[in-house]
Amino acid sequence: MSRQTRDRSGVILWLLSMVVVMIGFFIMILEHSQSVNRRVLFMKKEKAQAQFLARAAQQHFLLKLRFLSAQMYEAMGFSVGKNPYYDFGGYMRSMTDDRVEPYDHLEVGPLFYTGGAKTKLALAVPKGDSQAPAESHILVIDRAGEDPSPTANEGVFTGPAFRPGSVPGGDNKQVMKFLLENFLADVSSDYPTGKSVVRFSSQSSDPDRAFMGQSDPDGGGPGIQWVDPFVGHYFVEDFRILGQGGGGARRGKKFEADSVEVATEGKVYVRNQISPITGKSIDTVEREMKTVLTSKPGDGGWTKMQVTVESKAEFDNRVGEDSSKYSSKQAFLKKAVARSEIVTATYFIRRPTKKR
Amino acid sequence: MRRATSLVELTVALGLTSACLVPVVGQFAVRTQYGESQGMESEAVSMASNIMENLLAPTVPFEAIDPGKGSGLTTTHNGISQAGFTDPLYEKLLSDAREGTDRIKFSTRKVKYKVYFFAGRYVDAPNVSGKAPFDEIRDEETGKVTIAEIPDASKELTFSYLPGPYGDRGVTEFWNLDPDFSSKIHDKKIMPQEPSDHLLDMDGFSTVPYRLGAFDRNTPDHRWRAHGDQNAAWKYNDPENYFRIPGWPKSPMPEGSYDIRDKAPEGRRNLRTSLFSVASRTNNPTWGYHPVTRDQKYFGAEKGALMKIVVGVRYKSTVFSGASQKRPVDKEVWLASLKANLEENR
Repeated sequence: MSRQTRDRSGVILWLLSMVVVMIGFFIMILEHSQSVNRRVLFMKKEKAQAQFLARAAQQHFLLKLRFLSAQMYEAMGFSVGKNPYYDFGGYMRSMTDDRVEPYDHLEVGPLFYTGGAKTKLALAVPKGDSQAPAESHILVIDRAGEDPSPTANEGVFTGPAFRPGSVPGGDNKQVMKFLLENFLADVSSDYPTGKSVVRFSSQSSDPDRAFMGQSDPDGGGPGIQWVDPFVGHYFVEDFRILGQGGGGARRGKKFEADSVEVATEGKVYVRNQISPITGKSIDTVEREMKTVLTSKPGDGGWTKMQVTVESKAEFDNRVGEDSSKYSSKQAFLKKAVARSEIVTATYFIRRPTKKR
Repeated sequence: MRRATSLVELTVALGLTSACLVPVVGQFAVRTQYGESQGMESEAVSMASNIMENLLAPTVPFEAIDPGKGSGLTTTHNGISQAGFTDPLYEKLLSDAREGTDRIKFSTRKVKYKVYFFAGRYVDAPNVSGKAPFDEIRDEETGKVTIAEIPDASKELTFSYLPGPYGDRGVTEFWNLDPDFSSKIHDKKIMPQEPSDHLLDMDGFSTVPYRLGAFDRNTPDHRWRAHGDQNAAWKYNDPENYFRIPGWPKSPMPEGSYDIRDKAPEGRRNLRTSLFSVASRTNNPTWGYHPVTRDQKYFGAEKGALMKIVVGVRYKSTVFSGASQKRPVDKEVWLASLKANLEENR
């Protein structure tokens, strides 16, 4: 019995067709991959721009911290309900019924302005401290049992506080933080509004006060007609002290060395980017290419692969709204797509301690 | 018997394959070029970021950057010069070579990029006169009154803060206003001495030393608490910028809210507006809200301790306006930031 063979005529056509289809799929996958890459890149550039604006805020804040460090510590102390003038590192003589008597009578009031009965106080012997007065103690404060929520009963911000508790509409936490918020408020671009000293804008109508390109400028002179490559903003989102440290005697040790954390935000608008060199618009956002499979009647059932560029409507939808819809550039910018980045950094700061 | 593939079949198959593959391969080539263009842009962003990181790093001293030192290099379209360095060693951070009037940096793939570097300081501007009577300076001995100058917050970098709530009014509020609070202090909080001494007697208080230039806590100076009407307008009434210190600030924001994150971003904007209105004396300081504003000159930095830095990278790329329509273009990536003078010996 002979083996029956099938007719294989035309099989090569099918095989090659399969190869072509597979190559087509391969290109489709490649196209999709590049499209994703393109969008990642689209994010990457604006991301870098926004991050460096947030970094600008960090530098601006660090300068203010250098100039007005004591005022910042004061504001920071109040923001957590703490008396910034109290020498928490001072030596204590004794404690009776939760009241202690320090060696240095600085007359600066209580430890905390807010708080409940769960604040635990104790005295400890300063072992190994050669500068400690005889039979002196150090203060141990435990506020771990207190709820930091502003509305908590017996919490960190519990009243009856003095002024804060009597402010309509403001809880103690916000009121106690108000000095710090004021300290952070002017560390921002676009301050003051309308006559900004520090400003990042590609709109030439109101340049900022950086004397670009001048080695020794006269501050009283007119501003420089510098135009930034893009429109962006920054501000300080939050600030906190992570821990205080430093050597030296406990007595009088105030603001010697600290770890601080600063969170800043930068924001950059995708459109209206220009080149300072040419003064012309930068083609920062291109229309994407895309590959689509089409099948039309009359094509004999064949599916065609077509590479196209996205339409204006698709482009506007992806990167932002159409500027022509708005009456002015300012109005457009308010609505335009922007990239925001938050940068949080910790710094170890150190100042010489001025001893009296 | 197996039959071989006929020449006709083979010819037809190859013809069809060619007809399909030629446009596909053509488009593949376009896509490859497109990917190359993306790669260059990615590289340009990384290069600009690295340069900016280097410039912001403490290893490049603030004073090493000279905003006008880049003479001879390409300027902006309106003639602003590029920046340079006081020490040419730092130039390596920016470029590998010069080509005409441009700084050139090569990528790891040996692609050539042009690098642009602009900088400018925020220098101190002349102060402006305050508005009487709120910025009167009265000499206690001679009685002479002059008008203080205040920083011009609209033209120079300024730094504002609210003084802490100590002083005569602060003491009143802290210790006497709320009997429950006084009780709380007595029961729980730590008082240095007998509470009755502090709660009622302001003489027991020394104020915060850093705030008062001529103040010596060992030689009590009672001017800080010597004047009394809480309802009177706020005055800077001391020739040494020494001023009375009211109590806890009253929020200047709409509806008296203390929460600047409320209705963001309006809350933050409102606070800035309030701050500037007092700093510029558009509105006068009051007992309730009296931010203090200093300029850089006050801290001995009239030449400017903050600098704007702008870095650009330019490269040749391709723009696609259709499946097979492309044109060579110069593309640019720009970054901007600030650098502060944080050095110890500033």
